[in-house]
Parts: sequence; C-alpha cells; structure tokens
Amino acid sequence: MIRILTLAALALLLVRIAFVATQAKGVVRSDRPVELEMSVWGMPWENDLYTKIYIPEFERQNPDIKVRFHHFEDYGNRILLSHAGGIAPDVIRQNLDFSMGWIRRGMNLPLDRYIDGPDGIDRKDFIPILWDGLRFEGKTYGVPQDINILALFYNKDLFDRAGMAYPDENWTWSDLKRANERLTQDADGDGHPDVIGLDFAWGSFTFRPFVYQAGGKFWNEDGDRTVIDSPESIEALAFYRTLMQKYTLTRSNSQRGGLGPDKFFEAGKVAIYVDGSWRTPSLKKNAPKLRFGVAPMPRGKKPMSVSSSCFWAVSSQTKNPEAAWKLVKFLSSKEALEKYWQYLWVAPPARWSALRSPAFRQVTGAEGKIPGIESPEEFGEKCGWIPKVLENGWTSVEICSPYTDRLMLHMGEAVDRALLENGDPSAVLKEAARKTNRQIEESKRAEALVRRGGR
Amino acid sequence: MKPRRNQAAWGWEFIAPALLLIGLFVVVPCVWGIGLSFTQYDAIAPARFIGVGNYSRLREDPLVWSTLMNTAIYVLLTLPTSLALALLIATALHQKWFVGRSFARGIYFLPNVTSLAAVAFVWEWLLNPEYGLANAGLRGLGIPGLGWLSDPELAMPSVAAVGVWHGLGFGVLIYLAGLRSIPEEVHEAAKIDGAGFWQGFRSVTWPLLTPTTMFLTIMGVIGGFQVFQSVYIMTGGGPLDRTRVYLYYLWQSAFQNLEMGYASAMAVLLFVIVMVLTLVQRRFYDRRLQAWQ
Repeated sequence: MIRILTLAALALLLVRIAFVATQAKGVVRSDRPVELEMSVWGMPWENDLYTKIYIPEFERQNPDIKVRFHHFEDYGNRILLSHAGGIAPDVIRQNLDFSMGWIRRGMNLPLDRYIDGPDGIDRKDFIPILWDGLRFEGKTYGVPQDINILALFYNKDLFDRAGMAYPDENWTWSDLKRANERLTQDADGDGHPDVIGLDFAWGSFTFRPFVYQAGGKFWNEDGDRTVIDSPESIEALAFYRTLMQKYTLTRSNSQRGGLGPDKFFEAGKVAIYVDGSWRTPSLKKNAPKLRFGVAPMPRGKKPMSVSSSCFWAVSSQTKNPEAAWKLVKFLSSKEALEKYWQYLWVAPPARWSALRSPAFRQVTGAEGKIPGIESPEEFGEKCGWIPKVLENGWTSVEICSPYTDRLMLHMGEAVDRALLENGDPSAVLKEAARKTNRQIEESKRAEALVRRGGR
Repeated sequence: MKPRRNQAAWGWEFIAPALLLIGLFVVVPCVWGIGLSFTQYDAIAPARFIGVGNYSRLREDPLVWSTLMNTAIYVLLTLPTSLALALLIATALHQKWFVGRSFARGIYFLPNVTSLAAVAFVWEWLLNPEYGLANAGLRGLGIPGLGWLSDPELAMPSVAAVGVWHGLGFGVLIYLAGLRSIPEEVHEAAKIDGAGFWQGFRSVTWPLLTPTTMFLTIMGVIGGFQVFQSVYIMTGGGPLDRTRVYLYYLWQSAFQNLEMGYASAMAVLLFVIVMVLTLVQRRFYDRRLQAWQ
C-alpha cells in the first residue's frame, strides 16, 4: 500500500513539474490572458518601480496581458542558463556592457519590424549613439532605457579649504593633475596622506574615458579588431600613469562589493573621485552630510566620457513577440523613463523628450530608500552636468562590442603593467592589442563552426 | 546470511531518493560535462560535435599552463603552512594544561563555518593599502604600508594567507581527532623508554598521525586546486595575472567568453590532474604506513 502511495506521489510530482514547465514555456491558451515574463537586476528597492508602478499600469492598459516579474541575482549567468534551458524570460533587461556577445549569438529577437512598424516608436527621440550600440549586422536588438556616464565627483569642503574653484566642463587634464597634487595632504608627514587628491579604481574601467579624451577609440570600423595600441591611446596611458601616486593603489575590481574608493570619498578622505552617474544617489544616501558635486570628465584633446546603457530586449525564444513588444514599448515610453529617473536617478533616461522635460529636474527618490533632490541648486551641482554632456555629444558607447570582455581583460593587464611595473605604454598596449585580436580570431573561428553545425 | 529478496528490494527503495538526487544532480551533470567537452557550445546556439578539438586547444593555450602554475603555487603556499599550523595548534589544544580548550577549539573553527565570500570581502578591507588595518599596524611600527593585493609579488601570498586562515579550523579539528585516537598507553610506553616530548612526538605521535595527515593532504590538494571565490572577490586574477588560477580561467572561459565546450574540457583536465595527484599521494602514504608497520 505504502509503495502504491509513494508511486502515486511521484507520478503527481512529475505531472506537476511537466505542468509548471509548460506554463514557463509560455504556451498560449485562447481562453486565458497572455502571460509574459520579464526580468531585471538591481537593488531590491528598485523592484517597487516595476511591481507597484509599471506592471499594474501596463496590465490596466492591456487587460489581455499578465506580467510575471523576476528579479535575478547573478543576472548574466541566470539569463544565459535560462536561455540554454529554453525558459528565458520574454522581456529581458540587458546592458550593453554584457549583452553584445548574447546579441551576436542570437539570444535577442530583432525588433526593427516593431520599432518601425505601425505600433512603433520614434527612433529620433532617443540619444542616437544608443541605437548604434544596439545594432548588429544591420538589425536592432533592443530599445534603450537609460545612458550612464562616467564623471568627476568632488568634495566641496576640501576644494573650499584649498581655495580652489570646483571642477566644471572646462577642466583639462592639466587641471586634474594640478588639483590632484594640490589637494593631496599629508599633515603629519608620515608618508600616508590624510587626504588623497584623486582616487578611483585604478584599471581598465577608469582608463577608458582617457582614451576618448586623447582622441583615440577602441575598435576598428567593423568593431571586430581593437585599435587600442594607437598613438592616442598610448598618450592617454602615459597621462593616466602620471595621475597615480605611490599610495593610491586601490586597484580596480568590479567584485569588491562596495568596499572601494567610494567609501573613502564618502568619509571625506578623497577630494576627487571618478565613477558613474549611478553613484550619485547612493553617495547622498550613505553620506548625507557630505557636500559634493559632480562635473564632466576633464578635457584632453576633446571633452569626452564613456557610457553604457540598459535596454529592453525580447528573447528569441518568446512565444508572444507581439505582447512582449507592447511591454517593451511601455517600459521605454517617455512617461516610464521619466518615472525611472525621478524614482531611482541612477542613470539619465535614453529619450530626449524625457531628458528635456520639467520632470527630469524633479527627482523625488523612493521614500525611505533613495533620497530625492531638494532644490534646484542641488540639482545643478549633482545632475546639471548630465544634459551638458549628452546635448554636446561628449560621451560614447563605442567600447561596447561583442568582444569587450576580452579587450577589458588585456587592457587591464596593460594598465597594470604600466602602473605597477612602470611598463612602456606603447609596448604594453601593443601586447594587449595583439592578445585581444588573436582571441577574437579564435573566437570567430569557433563561432563559425557552431553556426555551420548548429543552425 | 543472505537477505530475503523483499528485504533487498526495501533496501533499494530506501536509498532510491538519494540515488535519484545524486544521479540527477551529480552523475548526469558530470557525464554531460564530459560530453560537452567534445563540442563547441556557447549556451545560446546548439552544441556542435568537434571531436578532440578542445583538448588540442588546451595543449596550445599558454593561459592553461600559466594558471595551472599559479594554482600549484597557491597549493604549495597553503598546504604545508596549513598542515604545520593545524598540527601545532591541535597539539597545544590537546595538552591537559591548556585552559579553555573547548572555547579555543570553537574559536579556531569559526572561520571555517563562515562563508569564504564574506571572509574574502573582510580581508580585502583589512588589506586595503590606504585604510586597511594591516598597513595601519605596519605604519604604527614605522614600516611603510604594503600593496598586499596590488603588488604582483605579494598578491598570491596574501590570497594564500586568507585561504590558510579560513581552512585552519578544519585541520585543527581533524588533527585533534587524530591525536585523541592515539592510545595513552603508547605515549606512556615511550616515556618509560626515556623519550622526551620532542622524541615522543617525532617517533610516536607523528607516525601514528599518518592517516590523518594523508586525509588532510589529499583534501588540501583537492581544495587548493579548486580555489576560486577568494580570487574572484579579492583580486579578479590580477595584478599582472599573478593570481589568475585555473578555476578562475575556467569560469572566464565559460561565462565571460561563452566557450562552454572549452571550459568543460578544462574541467575534465582538472579532474584528471586531481585524480592523478590523489592516487600518487595515496601510494606515497600507503608505502609509509607499510614501512612503519
């Protein structure tokens, strides 16, 4: 009897698993609303934006569509493995930093026929470089949500104490170097500075904007060979090295979990700090008494920074592309992007109309979780730089390519060699370019095999 | 006595759930992984059989050999240090005169039950060149601070030190169990024969601890070759690739470069290396045991 019951329980379990799997695959039944799955990453409080604002409004506007929301940890691996298992979410929040390899391999659905179709969107309302980043072999694989930008964060008290003017869009490389030297203070002369003029995660991540400022770039026209060994990049690395002083050894490590130089900046120990626009709300939250402002990156031969972008993609595995497009269109609408900025203010919206609207200047934050901006003066000092950079085209997403991981790895080695072993910038960048291009060739050969055999 | 047929059947039924779970979540993935190692697979497009292509590439990939070398350095730095410290502490804790032994055992085991990821974060903070406690201590002694994780010469020893610290409690616990299993009469006989502490330790305790040392060495080599978390969090493989260990490169191949087939071949190679090293150690210790018997 017990055995029969055990077998029956097992059979029920298998039936249940099969049922859940069928549901997860998004099989459409005519008598039920279409069920879409969407996924995001981010801080837990960001979920409220989706679960309490976006999704209820979308479902109200589209009663025939239900949205199941997922917040995934270890996002990249989770999405990749979901796709490998055939259960990828229909609508996936992605980032140019890590998604280009996925796009190249066919994870996303091309969206051109929806974007340019009768129920489409106006491409011209989006910051144009973002479309360039989302294009692969002539097709568009997502709709931009935001654009983040690297910038200079500065401690106003430390600048005031030194009697120096705050950084602005006219600052040059020389200004940065001079300020670094002048603001660094070692009051007791023990060789360990009490205040560090400039600190950031030393490595390829913060080296990137200097390449653009020197007039260089990362890829050839086809985006499949790096040109990081150009004279401009070599000049950038030579300058970057002069910014580093013996005690500023905090190396870049994206996995350091918030224990990086941002903490020293919050503690008032660092005068100038380089990070992305997303850092502003957390700095204000973690150090409410810190008087800080944000300015564009300094000019080299030209004023430039580096950017990436979050965007909405539709999985190539979706069974409901039309419904998925409706959700993508909703999530990238002017109203949704305004709300995104006002609530989280981690990265400015990707639409000009949202960026130029009065709503852009009214940052509310999320009550009890993210502080808002309290006055036009505060908006000016913390966010006023953003429209200047975007309207003038002082940033680029050109670095985002399917092969960025490989470039960043070898460029990181080159920066390490230049900083830690006093390596010749020209030699180390040439080595980085050689290694990156060799790996790209290997990768292309491997993918050609997969394409011939698998599709 | 031969069990009755239905008794055997009941036995199988009792272990069936465990067998099913092990089969599904251990055996099948292992076999699947070996199968993948003969394919070109990026987890997005379907896999394509390419024979021994990945294994040929392993032979020619300089990073495979440099990361294996880094891993071997990590094992050589951690294993002897861990064994020596664990034996020293366990011997001290085993002495009757040691006050607060139970408390001390708990303290030594505490890092071992703490997540290595959390431990690595804390150590990264302690070793921070500007504001870390380690350099503050050095500066207090008039010694300039060191780039514990940024100096190419110091990074691997620093990561290894964290590994030793984290795993020490386990070694202490096992050595304590080994010391307790040695009959008191053997020590007393050695004393009657005129052996002092050191001579008794060298001639009696150490040989009788051979099975314990064998276990710890084998586990240490297996664990050392699988070092990943501390490197992932503390150094990201740098500086200058000095801490890029084998498993970190395997992870990069699989999840950054999306070369799952190649990463699977790397995993198979790691399995073979660890198995060979384990067999060699078994043989070495078996011979020593036979010689003493």
